[in-house]
Amino acid sequence: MSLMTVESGLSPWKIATAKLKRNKLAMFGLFVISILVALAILAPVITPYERDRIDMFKIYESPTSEHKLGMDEMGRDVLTRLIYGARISISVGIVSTIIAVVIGVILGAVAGYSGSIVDSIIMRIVDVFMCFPFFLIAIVIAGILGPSIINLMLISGLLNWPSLTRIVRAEVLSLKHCEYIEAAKALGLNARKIIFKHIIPNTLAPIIVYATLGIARGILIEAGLSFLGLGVEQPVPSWGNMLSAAQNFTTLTTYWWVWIPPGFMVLVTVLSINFLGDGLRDALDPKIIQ
Amino acid sequence: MTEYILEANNLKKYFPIFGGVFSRVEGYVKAVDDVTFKIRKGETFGLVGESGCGKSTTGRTILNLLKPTGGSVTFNGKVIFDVENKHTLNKKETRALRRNMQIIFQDPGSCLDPRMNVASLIGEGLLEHGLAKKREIMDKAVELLELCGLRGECVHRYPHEFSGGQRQRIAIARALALAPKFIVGDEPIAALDVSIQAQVLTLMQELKEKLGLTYMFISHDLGVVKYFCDSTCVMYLGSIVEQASSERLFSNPLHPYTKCLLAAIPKSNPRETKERIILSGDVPSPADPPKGCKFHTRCPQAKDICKDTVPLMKEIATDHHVCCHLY
Amino acid sequence: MPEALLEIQDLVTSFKTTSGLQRVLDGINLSLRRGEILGLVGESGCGKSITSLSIMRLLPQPYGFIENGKILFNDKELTDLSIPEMESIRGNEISMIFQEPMTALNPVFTIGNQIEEVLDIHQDLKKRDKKEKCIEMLKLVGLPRAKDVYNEYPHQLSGGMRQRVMIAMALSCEPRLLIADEPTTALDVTVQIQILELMKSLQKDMNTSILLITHDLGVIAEMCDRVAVMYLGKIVEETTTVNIFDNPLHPYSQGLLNSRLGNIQKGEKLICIPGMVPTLSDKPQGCFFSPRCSKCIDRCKTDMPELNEVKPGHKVRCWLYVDEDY
Repeated sequence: MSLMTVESGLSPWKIATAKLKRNKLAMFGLFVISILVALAILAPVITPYERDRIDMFKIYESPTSEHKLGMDEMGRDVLTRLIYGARISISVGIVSTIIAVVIGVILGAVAGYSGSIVDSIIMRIVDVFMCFPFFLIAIVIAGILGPSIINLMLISGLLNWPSLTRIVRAEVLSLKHCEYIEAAKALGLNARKIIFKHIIPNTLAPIIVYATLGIARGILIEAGLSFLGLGVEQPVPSWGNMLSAAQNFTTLTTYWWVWIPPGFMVLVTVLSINFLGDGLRDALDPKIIQ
Repeated sequence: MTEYILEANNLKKYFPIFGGVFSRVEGYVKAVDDVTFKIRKGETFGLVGESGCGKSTTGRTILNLLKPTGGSVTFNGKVIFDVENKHTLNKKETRALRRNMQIIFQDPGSCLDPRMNVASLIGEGLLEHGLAKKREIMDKAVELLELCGLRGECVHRYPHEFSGGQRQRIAIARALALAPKFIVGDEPIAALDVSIQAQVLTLMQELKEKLGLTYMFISHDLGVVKYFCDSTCVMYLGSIVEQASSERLFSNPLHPYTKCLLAAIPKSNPRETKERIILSGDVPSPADPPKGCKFHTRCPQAKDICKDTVPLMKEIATDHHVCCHLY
Repeated sequence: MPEALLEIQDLVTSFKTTSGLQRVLDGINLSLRRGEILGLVGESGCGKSITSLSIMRLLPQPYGFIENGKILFNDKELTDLSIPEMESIRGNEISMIFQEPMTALNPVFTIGNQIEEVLDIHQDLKKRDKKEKCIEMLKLVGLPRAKDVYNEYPHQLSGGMRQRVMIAMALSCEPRLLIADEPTTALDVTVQIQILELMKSLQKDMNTSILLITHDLGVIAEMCDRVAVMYLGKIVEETTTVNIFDNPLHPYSQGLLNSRLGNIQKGEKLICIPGMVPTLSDKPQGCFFSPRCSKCIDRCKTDMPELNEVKPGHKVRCWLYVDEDY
């Protein structure tokens, strides 16, 4: 029929990977994130000191060759705590996103596919959730449940699902009228098979993009709540509660090494994830061919 | 005695129009309104009409892809559904039916799942119906692709790597996988280029002869129908206005609408002089069809009776039915 | 003696893609006389729409650009004009009708508003005159209740009526050249013939030249004086409409004519062009049509023939007609 010589096909995933690889910013983001994740996992091996070791003589010591990023208000090594902080911040981001994705995808798919009254009910719940002032609610819940890492993950996850539900529902609604769904029906496939074989794989692209950006959001929420003292509690370090040192004016003006490193880490991580997320969006969008 | 593979009696499909705050049903779009026809075994049955006349809806309703509002369809001597007598098939029977009736869609770009390769697209139905085991799929897919004029090596490729005409061939291969007896082609060549149209039509013709298929061919293009179909139905606003063998219909059209349609085909040669019957206006909305004969608002030969009495289908000659007060 | 209104010389239009520059138009030569309807016919991807966008200088930015060649309109070189100069020509001296009447009109403005907008840009009329002119145009294109339509929105009109509005808009400044890009493809047969008849009669009244782009040879037979057949960015045959139907020379034109189903008897075998249109990045060696051509000779596989005038007013790009005195 044609001049085809290549035997193995180019699947949409392969194309997306190729497109992503061409995007320099996204690859940079991926590189930074990989390093951060590796640091977080290997924290006990690579950190020079124990996480909570206190050296009373070195409180607020400025960076030296021994303590590369200096010491904090309790005489703990900032670099060590920064690396351990990555564990908390990144895992809060990931776990809260998983919670949001699970709830969001299930509710969105059910709402979109079933239509009618179920759809209306789910979407009204989403509407209600969406008009909550997010941070205020988060503060209230954190205040009631008390500060802990688990609570932080739950709060961030539970407040993040509604927008994903909307995305998934819209996607499913448009897919439902695709001719290949109808063709699958004509082949005799039942609803469950159609959802799992045809609908969910085709909604994965926006979900992946949303989830990636959701991790960044989770990290920011962690930082925000911990900064206010409603998130991760001492002595466990997180970038958020390390930043809270900057609430003290003397620290802010004199001891820059205590709060600039965690702030910088939050910035770099969120920025990298956003680069990657934007890259994924372009790569997975079938409309952008070149 | 001719054998009929499919009989549709008084088929109706209404789509509700929702309105108001509480999504109440405010009216119906009568997409298919009391349509009766019979398709002979082994023939190509054409259904022509302008957009919105309900021809695609008819095709999908007889396949049970849309829930019928009224009427009955008998396939191969078996009643598929009969709304008035509350007869429907159970799940098992429906599945068995799917094997025998397939559909090819208009847009080859959207009727194939973009995330599946050709082998799994073709194999999907085979696996579903237990007609082949997983490891046989590949051979079967290659065989079907080659039957449809594509190279067998393409089985690992994805739909976006093919041109429109090739995708339509894949869609045909997929429909054929279940060895159906009856295929509905819903404007299968309308989205293709002229030279590719001829190729796909030739393929469909060859397959029909080779596999003994029966087609229902839905199209808006009278030229294609004239060439391809054995008998033809003309639809207007959800109703059949004329039905005859293609030869008769094109040489001796009776219904004013059929005449207008034929007159509206562009010339095949610049020298040809054609008598034109230019219709005024557009097709009325099927949500609010005119009373009486639905065509009377645009009909050049409308009489008073057309405005309030619905004409009945009359057999003018053997196998030539027309629905008009003139006859 | 009607001189050429539009003269395209060696037009090369390219698109920037990740795999390098791709020539979408590869040396187009066309001339359109005053008061003439010229058809441009070809399959999808042959560059017929890009030709019209090149003339209008409306190529998709930033990918498309005119690499080479001249477009002379009324002895003005369009490729050299500045953007404001070009804007004063668009809609005024050259207007365009698109395929999709649904998307070509802005859904949030009334029909009157949209036609007046065109008049505003190119003509200096008083408010009342504008409205009068508008309604006059709507009547001209055969819309019943023109006064009501003036105040209506696009969604209140059917496809055929919308296309009439588009024509009214395009003709409101009495352009010398109207480019119609598949004007009836999205319409039903009975409406298509209405629109074609309308365009024909308006063309006669206003003596506008029309460049009609279509894939449908029936529309060509219906409307055009002359035809150019395009294949993969090149013109392969150019002659009068009567000639192309009676005596097509290029194998591709012959194939296209044979592929029409209207005048083949039932049961007769279709003669189709084998294979499919190659992609632009994968253009064949020699004559672009050679892999699909049934009359291909050795020379076709290595060299691209020129567009030669083999008979007065009949140009063909094919080796079959080069050496013989045809």
